[in-house]
Amino acid sequence: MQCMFALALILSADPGATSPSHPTVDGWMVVSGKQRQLELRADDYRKALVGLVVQYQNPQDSSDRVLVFYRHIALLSERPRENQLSQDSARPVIVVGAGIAYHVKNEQDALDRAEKSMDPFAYVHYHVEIDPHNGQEMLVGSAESWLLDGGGLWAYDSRASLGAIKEAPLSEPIKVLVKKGQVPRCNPKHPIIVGFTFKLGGASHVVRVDQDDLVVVVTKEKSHAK
Amino acid sequence: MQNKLAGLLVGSFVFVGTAMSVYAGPSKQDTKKQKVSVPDIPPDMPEYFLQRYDYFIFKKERKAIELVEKQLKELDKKNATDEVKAPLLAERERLIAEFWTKRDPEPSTVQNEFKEVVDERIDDIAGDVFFKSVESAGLSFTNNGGLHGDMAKVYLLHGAPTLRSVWDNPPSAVDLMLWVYMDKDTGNLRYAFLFYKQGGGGAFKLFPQDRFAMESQEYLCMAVNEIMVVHAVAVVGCTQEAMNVLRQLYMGQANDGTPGYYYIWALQHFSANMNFHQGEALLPPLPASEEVKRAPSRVAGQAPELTGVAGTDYVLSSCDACKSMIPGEIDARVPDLKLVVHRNLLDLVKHGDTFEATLSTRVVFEPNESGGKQPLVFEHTIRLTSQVGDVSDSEISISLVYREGDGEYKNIPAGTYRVSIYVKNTLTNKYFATTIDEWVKE
Repeated sequence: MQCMFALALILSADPGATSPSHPTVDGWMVVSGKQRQLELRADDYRKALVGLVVQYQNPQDSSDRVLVFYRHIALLSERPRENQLSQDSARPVIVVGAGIAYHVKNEQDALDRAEKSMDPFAYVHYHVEIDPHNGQEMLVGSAESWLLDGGGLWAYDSRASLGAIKEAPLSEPIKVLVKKGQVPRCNPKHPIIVGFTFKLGGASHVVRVDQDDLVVVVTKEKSHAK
Repeated sequence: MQNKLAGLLVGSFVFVGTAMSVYAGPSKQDTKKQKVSVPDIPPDMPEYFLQRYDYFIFKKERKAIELVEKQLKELDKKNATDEVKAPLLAERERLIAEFWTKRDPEPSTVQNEFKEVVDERIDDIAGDVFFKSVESAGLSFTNNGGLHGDMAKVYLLHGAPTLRSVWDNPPSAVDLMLWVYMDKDTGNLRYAFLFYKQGGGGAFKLFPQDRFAMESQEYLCMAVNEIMVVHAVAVVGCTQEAMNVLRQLYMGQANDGTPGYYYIWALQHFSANMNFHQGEALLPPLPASEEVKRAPSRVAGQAPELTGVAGTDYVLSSCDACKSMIPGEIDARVPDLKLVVHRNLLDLVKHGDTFEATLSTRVVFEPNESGGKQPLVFEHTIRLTSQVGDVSDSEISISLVYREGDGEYKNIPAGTYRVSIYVKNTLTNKYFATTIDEWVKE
C-alpha cells in the first residue's frame, strides 16, 4: 500500500500539466457541521470574510468525500460595541446589545448574496473509513488535490495525505495614510493580515481583502477617541 | 456601592451661603396633571395600546395610531358595522405590529424580547413588586400614580434600581425616595432618580434634577427649598430656612440608613456622567433598528448594484472562476512588472460609445533583507476602454509600476523584494491577487 502512495507523489503539481479534471459535486450532500468560513479577524469587532470551505459527501457512497474551497468578493464586517450606546447616552436601553442582532442579520444577508457568486478555487477528493480504534473517520488511499492558480489554470497533486494544499495567512506592511496627492508609504513595523495564500506545488492562489477597508476603520476609531 | 456614591459626593457638596434672588416658581411641566386612564393598567389589546405602552411610543407613531382611532370613533358614532370598520382595525393592527417589529432585538427569533421585558415590567407594576420588599415595605405603584405615575415611568424605562431608598419624614422636608442605577459593566453610578412628595402628600413625583443641575450654592438652596414642607414660593437663593434644612438633611439618614448627603447630592446630580440628563433618560428607548445606526458598525465590500441591461449597459465576464476573480498573469521579467489580462475576462460598463473597466491597483514591495530599506507601495487607478461590439479576447498589458520619465521604478532601491499585488475592478469588486516571493531590482 505504501508503495502505491509513493508512486502517487510523482504526479506533477505544475499548473497546466496534464492531469485529471477536478471533481464536480452536483447532487452531493453537504456534510453537516463541516463548513468553515475563510475569515480574518482584525480584532474582537472587525473581520473580513473572503471564502468558504465545504465538505461534500457522495450520496451513492458515504465514504466518498470532496472538500471544496470557495472564494467570493471580500466582505468587511464591523459589529457594534455592546456598551457604546449606554456609554454615549442616558437614553433608556431595554435590551442591551439589540443593535448587534441587526448587524448579524445585515452581515448574513450580505454573505448570502456573496455566496451566490462564489468561485471554487481548490478541491480535495478522498475516501474515508471509520477507524475501529477511536470511531473517527480516517483517510483511505490517496487524496487528489486541485488548485486554481491566479491565471485560471488548475494544478494537480495526489498523495497519501489531505495536506497537499498548504494554507498560510497573507500579510502586508500597513499603509500609512497620507494627504491626498501624496505618495502612500508603508509602516514596516506594522504588518496587517489581509488574506490567505494557498499553495499546491508551484501553484498558488490568494484570497484576500483590500487593506484600505481595514485602514479606514482604524482611522475612524482614532477620530472617535478624540 | 455606597462607597462609590460617597466618593462622588466628595467635593461636590458645598455648604452654602445666603444669596437671594427671584424664583419663578414650579415649571409648567411640573404642574401638568398626570394622565389618568381606565383601567389603570390596560390589557395588551389594540384599543389600549397607546395607554399601555405610553412611554415607549414616539410622537410620529402615536399620531398615526391616534388618527386611525379618531376615524374609528367617528364610525362608532354613526353605528358603522364591523365590516366598515375592518380596514381601519387592520391598519391599527399593522401600525402596532410595525411598532414591535422595529423594536425586536432579535429579528430572527419568533419572540420579541423587547416586548417581553416591557410586559414583565407592567406585570411587576400591577403586582406591586416592591410592596413587600424589606428596603421599601409598603411602597406601592398603585398609590403612586399607577402605570402612569412617575415611579412606574422610571420602572418601565429602566427596570428595578440597584439601590432603592425611602426617607419618610426627613427633617422639615417632604418624603423622599432615591433610585440608584449602577452600570453593570463598569460598576459606576449611572443614574440617581430622586422622587419627592411635592407639597408633602400625594404620589411620589420625580424631582426635576436637571433644573437645579448648576454647581452653585444658590441652585442647591433652590433645590432644598423645593423639597421643604413649608417652602418659599417665588423665592430663590439661600434663605436661612433652606440653610437649616440643608444642615439637618446632611446629618440625617433615610429609613434604610442611606446617608442624607446622598440625597443632597441627588438634588443637583442625576448621574456621575455630566453629559447625562434626567430628561433624556425619560425619553422612549430607540428601536433596535435605530440603535444599530448609532453604534459604529458596518458591512462593506459588496459590489455596487449594476443598473441597466446586461450586454447593453454593462458586460460581465463569464469564465469558470470569474464570479469573484480576475484571472491574469504577472509578467515579472525584470525590469517590468505588468499584469496581463484578457479583455473578455474583465467586467465593463458602458460610457457613451465605449465600454470601460476601472481597475485600482496596489503593489507593495517589502525588502527581503534588512539594511534600512523601507517597504514601498504604488497605487494607481487605471481606466481601460473598449469599443462597443468589441468582444475580442485580446491580451491587455497593465503596468503596475510606472517607468517613464521620473517614474516610480527608479525610486525602488536595488535589492530583493517580496511583492504583493492586488488589482480590483471597482465595478464589481472582483480582484486579482498574487505574491512574488523574490523579485530582484538590479
